[in-house]
Amino acid sequence: MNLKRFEAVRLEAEETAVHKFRKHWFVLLRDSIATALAALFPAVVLLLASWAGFTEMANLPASFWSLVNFWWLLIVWLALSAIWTNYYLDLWLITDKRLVSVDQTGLFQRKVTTLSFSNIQDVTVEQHGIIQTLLNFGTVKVHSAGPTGENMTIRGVAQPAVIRDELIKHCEKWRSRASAGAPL
Amino acid sequence: MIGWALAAAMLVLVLGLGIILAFHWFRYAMNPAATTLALLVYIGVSGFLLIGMVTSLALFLSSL
Repeated sequence: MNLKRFEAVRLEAEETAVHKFRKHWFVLLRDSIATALAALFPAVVLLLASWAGFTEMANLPASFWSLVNFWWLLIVWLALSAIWTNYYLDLWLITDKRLVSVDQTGLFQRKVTTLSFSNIQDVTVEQHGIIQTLLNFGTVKVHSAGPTGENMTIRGVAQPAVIRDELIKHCEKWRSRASAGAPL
Repeated sequence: MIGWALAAAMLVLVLGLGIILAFHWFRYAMNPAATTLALLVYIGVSGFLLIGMVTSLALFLSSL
C-alpha cells in the first residue's frame, strides 16, 4: 500500500499498513442528496410563479432564468465538491501495530487519532435499521484500555463485521508477537 | 454592473475553493491518480457552469 504521499499518517520504519477503509457510499449519497435536490430550486420557483399567476416573473427573458440557473447550479456544485472532499478524506487505516482514524470534519478541521493494539480491549459492531442491514454498513466501536478510557467510534463504515474481524486478528497477532518477545 | 460583479464574485469563489480543495486532495489523499481526476472534473464542471453563467449574463444584458 503506497503511503508515500499520504501526509496524515506517518508510519514507523518497520510498520506495515494492512487495511484501509472509508465510509460506505450510502453515507456520501445521504449527505449529497439534499444538496443535489436543491439544484431544482429555481425551476420550482418558476413553476410556482407561473402557477400562482405571477406573470411578470414568468415573463422575464429566458436568458435571465438561464443566468439564475447557472448561478444556482454553480453554488450547488461547490457545495457538492466540499461534501465529497469531506467524505474522501475521512479514512481509517489498520497497520500491524495500531488503528489510525483520520476525520475530516470541515475544510479546515482535521483530527487524526491513533489507537495502539496494546490499548484495544474489545471491538463491537452495531447496525440499526433496514438500510444499514440491507446495504451492510454500520458502526464499529473500538473499546480502549488507555488512561483516558476513550472509545473510537467509526460510523457509517462498510462491512463492519469484516473490519471487526480484521482488527481482532491483527490485535491477536500483535499480542502473540509481544508475548514471544519479538521486536514491536 | 451588479451582474458582472456577481460573475466576478463567483469566479473568485470557484478559484478560491478550487485551490483549497486541490490543496487538501494532493496533500492528504492517498491516491494521486484519483485526486488528479477529481481536479480535472472540478475544473471541467466549474468551467462549464461559469461559461454558461457569463454567456447568460451577456445575453440578458443585451436584451435589456
